[in-house]
Amino acid sequence: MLSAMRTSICALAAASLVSLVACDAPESTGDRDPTREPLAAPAQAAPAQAAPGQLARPVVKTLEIAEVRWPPRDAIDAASLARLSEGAREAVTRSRLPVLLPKRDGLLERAVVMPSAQYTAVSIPAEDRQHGVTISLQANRIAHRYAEVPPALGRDVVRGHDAWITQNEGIWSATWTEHGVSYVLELECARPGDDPRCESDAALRALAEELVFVGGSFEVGGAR
Amino acid sequence: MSARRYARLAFGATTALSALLAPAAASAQDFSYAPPGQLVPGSGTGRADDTIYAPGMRFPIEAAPAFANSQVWGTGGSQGPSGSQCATANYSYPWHDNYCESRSWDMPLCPSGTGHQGQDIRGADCTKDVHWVVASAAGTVTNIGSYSVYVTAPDGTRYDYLHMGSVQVSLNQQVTKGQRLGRVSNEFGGTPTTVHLHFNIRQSVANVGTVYVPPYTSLVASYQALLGPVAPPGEGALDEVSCDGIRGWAAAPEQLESPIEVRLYFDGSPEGGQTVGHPVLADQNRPDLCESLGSCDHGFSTGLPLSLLDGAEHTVEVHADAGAGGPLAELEASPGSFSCNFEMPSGVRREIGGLDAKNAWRFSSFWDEIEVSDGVLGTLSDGEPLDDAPGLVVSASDGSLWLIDRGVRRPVESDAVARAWDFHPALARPLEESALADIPIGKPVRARPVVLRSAEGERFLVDDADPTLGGGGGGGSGAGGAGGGGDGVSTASASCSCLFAGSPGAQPAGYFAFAGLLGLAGLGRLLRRRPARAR
Repeated sequence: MLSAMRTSICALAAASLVSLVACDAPESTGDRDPTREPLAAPAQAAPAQAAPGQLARPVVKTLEIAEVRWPPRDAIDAASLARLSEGAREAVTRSRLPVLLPKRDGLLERAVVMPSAQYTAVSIPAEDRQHGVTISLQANRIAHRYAEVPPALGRDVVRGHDAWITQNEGIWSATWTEHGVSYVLELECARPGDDPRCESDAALRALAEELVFVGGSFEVGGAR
Repeated sequence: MSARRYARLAFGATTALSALLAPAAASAQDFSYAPPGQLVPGSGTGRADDTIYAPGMRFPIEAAPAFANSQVWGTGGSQGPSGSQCATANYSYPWHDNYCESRSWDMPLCPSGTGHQGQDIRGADCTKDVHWVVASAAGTVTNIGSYSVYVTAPDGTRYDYLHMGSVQVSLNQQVTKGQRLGRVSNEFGGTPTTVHLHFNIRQSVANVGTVYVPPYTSLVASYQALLGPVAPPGEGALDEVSCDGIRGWAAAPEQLESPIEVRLYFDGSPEGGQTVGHPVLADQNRPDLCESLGSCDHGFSTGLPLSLLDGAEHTVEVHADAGAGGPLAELEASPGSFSCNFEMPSGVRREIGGLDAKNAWRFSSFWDEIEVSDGVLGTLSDGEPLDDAPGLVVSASDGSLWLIDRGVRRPVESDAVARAWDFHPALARPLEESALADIPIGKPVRARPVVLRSAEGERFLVDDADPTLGGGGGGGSGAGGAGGGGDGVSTASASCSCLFAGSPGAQPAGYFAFAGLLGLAGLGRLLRRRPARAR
């Protein structure tokens, strides 16, 4: 309720002041950089041995490529898959990540599926650019690792998984991990200030729960 | 943020001053910026983080000057001084970070746990639909909303451009870095905002989720690059691509005191948009560079990804990344190619208990894993299953790192080994020397993980049968475990047909041995030298 009120206040202010109202939140202080110890040679170990080429790999794993946990093939929602456009169905078969789509009339037919080696993006353009909603969903199998960013469990739950829900300039989004990969679902209202679907995260949550598995390449293994 | 890093950024701005023939109104000479995390007073708590989350990105507004600062706390904003959004103060340096500025929405990377997701940027002046917004990276237009355009790069990093007018691109279109997307405007769903670009970088961050990461330092670096290269691009040479590995050197001539990274693109190029640039730090000692460069620690070497040891020909393009938003520079003699077969190390096969264990050990499907037939798997006898996660301890007295395995502590002997296994002291449990001494010392951790995957998806680590110093190293085919690195491989390239990409400066194959020895001293240096990006 409070959240919805803030949104409305922001929107009203935007209309009248031609600027955004700050939606202040309580603050805390303190950063979370871990202290690192230097790595020195073990005192009692044998000297370092030269590594033959195949066995030397001084690559810093800053990019983690997740192993996809594919749902079984019979988990594909065939009815939803059938409602996709021909292009989208073909794109689904090329996706190296499980494709989730909202099982809802009018959305599946408009879905554009964009598979890439490390991610698959889906966009469902608004049916009406002046009053509709745009839905986007991206699945990432690459994760970037930063020493400065400690693990953090989402404060919400989406589809039974820990999740983060936030709002960026009126665009609602949720991110969670499922099937071994990271998903982010977003909902953008053409008129965020007066569209009830963007007054709170309720529409986003409902959309997330409607997502069904429509397929993928079922490929296992690494990527380059 | 580290003082060192900030000093470097500030130096960059100063360098730009003298390096530029400034465009008429660019005011490059005046460019200055407040440190990351220093928000407008009273606007919340910023994130003091000097990590560049999108290295090499292009500044998202085509031409300078541009002004990163707060819309809400700036002049004319709802929380700022009264006046017009066109006030001179809003179109002046220094820049101010406004990532994490007070908002009520969850933001896991913000100190308060909530905040503003991106950075507000004004163009050269407050006129709308004039100043071009351009793609910060090559990629695909993955979403176009009513007031947003998303471009996703091959590594999944998404760049968000909000409030644009005159959008020039369409959904699913491939765009190049620097391509025009639209113009800075005030679109906001029928209710205009101030004339500015709201810019986000959204990445999948390990163990957090796909979140908005701080864009400010990436913007500073890319703006400096726009004003004029802070430093020339990196340079270097690809000396060898063979079944022994990939070897070369790279450096940034004007910052020889700091190592730079090279990025390896297998079977593709940065422009292709389908391959990921795997980063490798060029910080190994190369005596042959000392005289010519005036600095020695710029070599790199790496083994090949096991998943590509399939006998087929593969290419690798290597580019120097000098950072600071500068362009990538392909190394001399790049690309190279190789055609190699996998050689089974001796040892036993240790079962990896499912994907959770694989992920806990951080085994990479690309680098560490190869699919083999049941017949090949059958040449190795079974060893003890691998623990569900690595048990790492670090000596509280000397910082040495050990893997606890089957009742012994196995030394992690060098930076190269630690990197290969992704073992980091920060993830290890500190132990006092007396407690450590109670655990028998075993064989060193092998130089890199070798994971075999069966057609059915089972995974096995090839390792020493007996980790104790007195035990035999092998247990399977081939020679027993070698001393030291314990890799158990007798020859590295006996079955390969290698295509050599050489250069006049090529080193003999034994160079890898030298580099490995020197690597031992390098890790501590690395970790100290790169506090913000020790990843």
